[in-house]
Amino acid sequence: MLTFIVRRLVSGIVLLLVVTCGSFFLAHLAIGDPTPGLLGNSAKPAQRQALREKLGLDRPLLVQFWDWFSHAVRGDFGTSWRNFQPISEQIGLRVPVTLSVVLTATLLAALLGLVIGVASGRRPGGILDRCLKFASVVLFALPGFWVSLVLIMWFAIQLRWFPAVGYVSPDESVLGWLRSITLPSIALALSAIVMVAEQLRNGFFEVANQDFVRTLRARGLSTRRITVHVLRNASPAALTVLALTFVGLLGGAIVVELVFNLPGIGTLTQSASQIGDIPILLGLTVVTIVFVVIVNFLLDLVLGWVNPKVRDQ
Amino acid sequence: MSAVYDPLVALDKNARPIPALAKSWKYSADHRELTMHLRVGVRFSDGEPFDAAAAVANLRHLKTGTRSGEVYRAVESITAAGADTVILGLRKRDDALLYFMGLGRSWMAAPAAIRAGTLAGKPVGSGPYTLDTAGTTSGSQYTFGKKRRHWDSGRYPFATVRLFPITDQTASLNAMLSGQLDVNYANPMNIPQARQNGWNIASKVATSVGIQFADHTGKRLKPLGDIRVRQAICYAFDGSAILRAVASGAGTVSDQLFPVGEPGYEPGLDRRYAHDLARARQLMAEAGYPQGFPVTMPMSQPYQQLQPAAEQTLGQLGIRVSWQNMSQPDYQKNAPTYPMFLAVLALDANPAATVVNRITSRSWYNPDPSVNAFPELSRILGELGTAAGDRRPELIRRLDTALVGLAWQNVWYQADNTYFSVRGIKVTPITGMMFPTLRFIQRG
Amino acid sequence: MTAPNRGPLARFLRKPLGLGALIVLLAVLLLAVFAPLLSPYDPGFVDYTITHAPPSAAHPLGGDSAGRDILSRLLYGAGSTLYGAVAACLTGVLLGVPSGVAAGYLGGRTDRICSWISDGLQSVPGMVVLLIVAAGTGVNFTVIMVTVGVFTAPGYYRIARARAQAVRGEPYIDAAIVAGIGTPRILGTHLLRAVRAPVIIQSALAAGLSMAMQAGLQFIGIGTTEPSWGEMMNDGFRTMLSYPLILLWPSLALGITIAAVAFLGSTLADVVNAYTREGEPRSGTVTVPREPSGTLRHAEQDCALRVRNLRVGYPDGWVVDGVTLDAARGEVLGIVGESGSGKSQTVFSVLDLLPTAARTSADSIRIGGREVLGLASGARQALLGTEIGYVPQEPMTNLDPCYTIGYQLTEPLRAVHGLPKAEARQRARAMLGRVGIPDPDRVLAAYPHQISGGMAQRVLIAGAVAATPGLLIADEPTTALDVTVQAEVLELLRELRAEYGMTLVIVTHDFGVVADICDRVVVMKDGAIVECGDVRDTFRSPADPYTARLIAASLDDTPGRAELDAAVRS
Repeated sequence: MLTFIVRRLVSGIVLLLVVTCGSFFLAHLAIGDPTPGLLGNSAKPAQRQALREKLGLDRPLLVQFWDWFSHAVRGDFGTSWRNFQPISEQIGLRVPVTLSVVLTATLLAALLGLVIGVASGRRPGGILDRCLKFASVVLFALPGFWVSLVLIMWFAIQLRWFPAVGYVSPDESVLGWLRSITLPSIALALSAIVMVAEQLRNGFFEVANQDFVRTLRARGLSTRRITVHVLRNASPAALTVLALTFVGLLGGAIVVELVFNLPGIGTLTQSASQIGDIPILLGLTVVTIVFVVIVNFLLDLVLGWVNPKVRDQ
Repeated sequence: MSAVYDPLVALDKNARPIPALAKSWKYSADHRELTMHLRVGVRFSDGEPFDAAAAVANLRHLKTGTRSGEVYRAVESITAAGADTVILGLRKRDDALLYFMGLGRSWMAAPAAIRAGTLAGKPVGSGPYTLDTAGTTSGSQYTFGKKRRHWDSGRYPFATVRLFPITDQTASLNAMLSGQLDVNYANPMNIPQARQNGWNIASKVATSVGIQFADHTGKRLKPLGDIRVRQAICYAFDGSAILRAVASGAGTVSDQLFPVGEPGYEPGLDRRYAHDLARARQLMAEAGYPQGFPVTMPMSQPYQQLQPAAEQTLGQLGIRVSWQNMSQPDYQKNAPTYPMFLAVLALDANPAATVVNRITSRSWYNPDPSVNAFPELSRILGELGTAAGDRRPELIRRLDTALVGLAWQNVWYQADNTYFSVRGIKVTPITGMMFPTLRFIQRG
Repeated sequence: MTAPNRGPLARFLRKPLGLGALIVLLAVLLLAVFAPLLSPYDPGFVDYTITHAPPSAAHPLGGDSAGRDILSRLLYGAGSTLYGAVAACLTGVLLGVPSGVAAGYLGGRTDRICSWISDGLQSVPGMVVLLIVAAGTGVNFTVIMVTVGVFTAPGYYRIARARAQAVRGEPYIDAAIVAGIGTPRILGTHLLRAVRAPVIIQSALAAGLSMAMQAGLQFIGIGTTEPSWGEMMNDGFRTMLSYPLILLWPSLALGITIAAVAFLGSTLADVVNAYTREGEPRSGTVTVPREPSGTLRHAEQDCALRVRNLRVGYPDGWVVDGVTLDAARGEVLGIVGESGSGKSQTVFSVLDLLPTAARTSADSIRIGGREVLGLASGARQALLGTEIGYVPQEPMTNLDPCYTIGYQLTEPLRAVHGLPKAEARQRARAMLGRVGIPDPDRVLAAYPHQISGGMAQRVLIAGAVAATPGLLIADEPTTALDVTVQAEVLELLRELRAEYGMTLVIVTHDFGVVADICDRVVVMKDGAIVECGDVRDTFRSPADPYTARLIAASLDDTPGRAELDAAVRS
């Protein structure tokens, strides 16, 4: 088990390194020389050179990378090219917002997806199953922000149960925090619930049709006990779906944060992208990937615990 | 800002400077020295007293700031004379100084906090409210509680003020609809909605919308040096149609840089370039460009709404635009390198401020003032520099007429800023202020 | 066997949903291609009078917030939507399919490296990388959609790899290798053909995803300067409270297109899956009811099992049709037949373990002398693991991979028979010893993947016998095992039968097994019994030519069914 943990951890760190390096070089190659954008076309070559020196862009790319990287591992992502504010601070303020929404949405997707998926997997072709299939196509076809808008219209404007925009920190008011993240989380989770449910349905169905389930029934075990066996066997697929859902929701959060005007990393990503602030984007990439790696690692641990075969491979 | 800080100078609803922390002021005869007498007994929320030394520290700090520094360009010296008097020495006469100070360039902060550089995170002022950190989530919601004692307490009727920074207008309208907001900066398109909800609607012209000619002498784009080409462009644009289409009609069609209804504005001038495509084409032909000419213009997201109108109308004159896309901050940096570009620029209720902001001083939208190339302009501006108060309105009028005649800028219309407020709260918009300070948000 | 003589395409066209989706998609494609001809106006043409205009005769869908004709922009936008989807899918296919095929076919290091990259790619939020790319390249639409395509590649990779792995074992690939055809050509011809269908289905999914992604990007202000649905939705979003129609049109267009793609994909998947299923050997189906077949040999009170006129049907026909048979206490009955003869269906209906889609009817089913036909399913269930034991065919797939052998043996003893934990464990240990496992403690602690097939089959037999049932049903208990192990397992069954006095029903296709262990034999073909009798008599003088053929086949050195099965299934 220990070697298993170490191996997964190493694999996660390697992934983190590869993606981080990849995005650093991708970003720098894609943007080329940022100084005309930062200073304007009319800037004199000397001014540009001065700025390049100030930003450290005059050095070879590898040196720049090392400088950035050696700071980044200590959690220092440098300063923004635009407003020269420390990036780690900006991201740090925004991470709780995004995590609140994304984790709540993932949790919602997991719980509701599990219930719906298992229920419809037990009766393939039943009403619930058909509803699920239909809902999955409809939600797949609906643009993401639509759901957000409908939720705002109904629950915020008509019923006034929840705020239409904004985020309240839990330090300030736990109830306010819950109210502020409810609608965004639901908007984000809705399509994920259906996706998770569908995958779980298929997974459940697949496992339920495996030979050993018939043998367990032939041994006289009750349906409830057999369901435990099926769920445990279906859980690796389910957990994998959940991890992928988390990754997907991190991306999907951008649109939801915009519509709900949440000060999360999604809106920061969007604005940084629009103004071409590469250091912020790189910091955001690293932070996002760190989350993904952590989630994947936890997932691997659970998988190894659930499925002995994974441990031994 | 207006919750936590008091200004030295405030504006009344006609944008005239009125006393705030400065109780009174007086210019010397040659307008080179401004003496301000300060209010006594005011304290910052950290307990420091407000006095001449604090005011001097603040003004010096403001003078070094990038944006506020512009306002104090003409200020040469800032000195305290006694405990409650400040004297500003000016390099030259500056008729816009008090207006700009009132517009929000004279907020007074506690000197200790200025020295510590912590104002951005923890504002310390003498204003009517203090930031309530318990009700504040950075980037999303700021809560201000009213102080028990303030020298102008009666002017601020609300016990708490909550501020939500919302950039997206649909989101802010949603917030207003859901009862989260009482006042918002609105898109005039939604005025019918506001009526339906029984909200108060307040509008006032705030910006000029059109094409900025950065190259009046034809240095970079020869045709623009020809007055007929600039006039042709002015004739070609159908300002009222664009106003109706793009801004839901919230604004006034005008050719001028002086805001409608404010000093300096000349109603008669607005028909100078009534939409006339035939005349525009004729002028182009007379100038020697019957087939038009190619031009490159910058483009950025906030201007995308105007892009189709510009492209199509210029195309009717044969002026073929190739657009260069860039991000919004890059636009301000790069626009000055283009001979002409789309611009939405703030208007000023004070004519002296308009002259400085729009004509004589160098800025991103006015990279090359080049007034000296136009004798008529430089003559009027020269006279303005020394003229006595009673001659000024006449001179401004002449300047305005000259500018319109020269087709100095291509203004399509002046757009309103619109504010919605729930019943019981009234907003008084001020031309020049993006969002009115708290003193202009009253019960009623 | 009813081999379908229609191709998947014809079957697809008969599905209304799929056909409808295809028509919608083709319509969108045609509209996009002919947009310049069909559009009433230039999509960029500004007519101030139609700003926010409601639909009218001249502008069927009205005007947008800049005064442009919405219909024209919608038509032009279709082009960029489809172009983006195609660019993304093409990128995904070009990256994912060749690498997936190579990884699946070559295995080893290639597989490990490619799979690692694919997994890594999947764990990167595409949106963030897209925003980096967009920040760098401005608004180059093709670059952005190609990047979207990169993130669809893992989906292609996985299906291509799985298909290639499956095809790798096919005889024709071996034949190609023997014939000296080089690896690149095998990859190029055979494997690409094998992955074609799933790749097309995956493309429907990927196309839908990339359209949604594209609209999302344009919605947040990244993408084209050309007319596009996402940008139109952004315009609609800004004006939605006052002019909701502006938001409605592009949303409708996008929603319908994506839904069409999704339905197209799911219908294709249904068709292809049904097609491949029908290609496999399956139970023959007969629609006309036949006369009952088979006879009863023993008196009712002597029987451990007695079935009269059993019929098992599925929606498309009967697979067991009027079977009558019995087995006396202590007797060993063999049910023999080729796959599809209905022999397994017969015993599963006795066990009441048929799939939910199956319907059964019978005049009588008696187990241990008791009529079970009218019993509630709960009471029927109660017979399992007590009266009846069951030994399955494939040892490895019949143990739950997530639990230890010990848990799987003790769970029924505790849950069904109410034994305390320690006693159950003692019993399981003893049973393992009894079935000839030399090191019971190690096996009890082991997981199924840690033991051999022969040992697993012994574990399953131990599990079946632990409850000392009166009737033990073994479904091809030796087929999946090595020849030497086969003999040992049969020997074990024989011993256990003698020891516990059980009735043993063995289902097999192999007359060798019958000869080895059975007292009596029932021969089944196409859901009916063609012959039954004493083993010795049947061997000596088979009454039916089919029986004779089966006997001859088992004497020949033909490949075992396991190999055939494996070849067919892959």
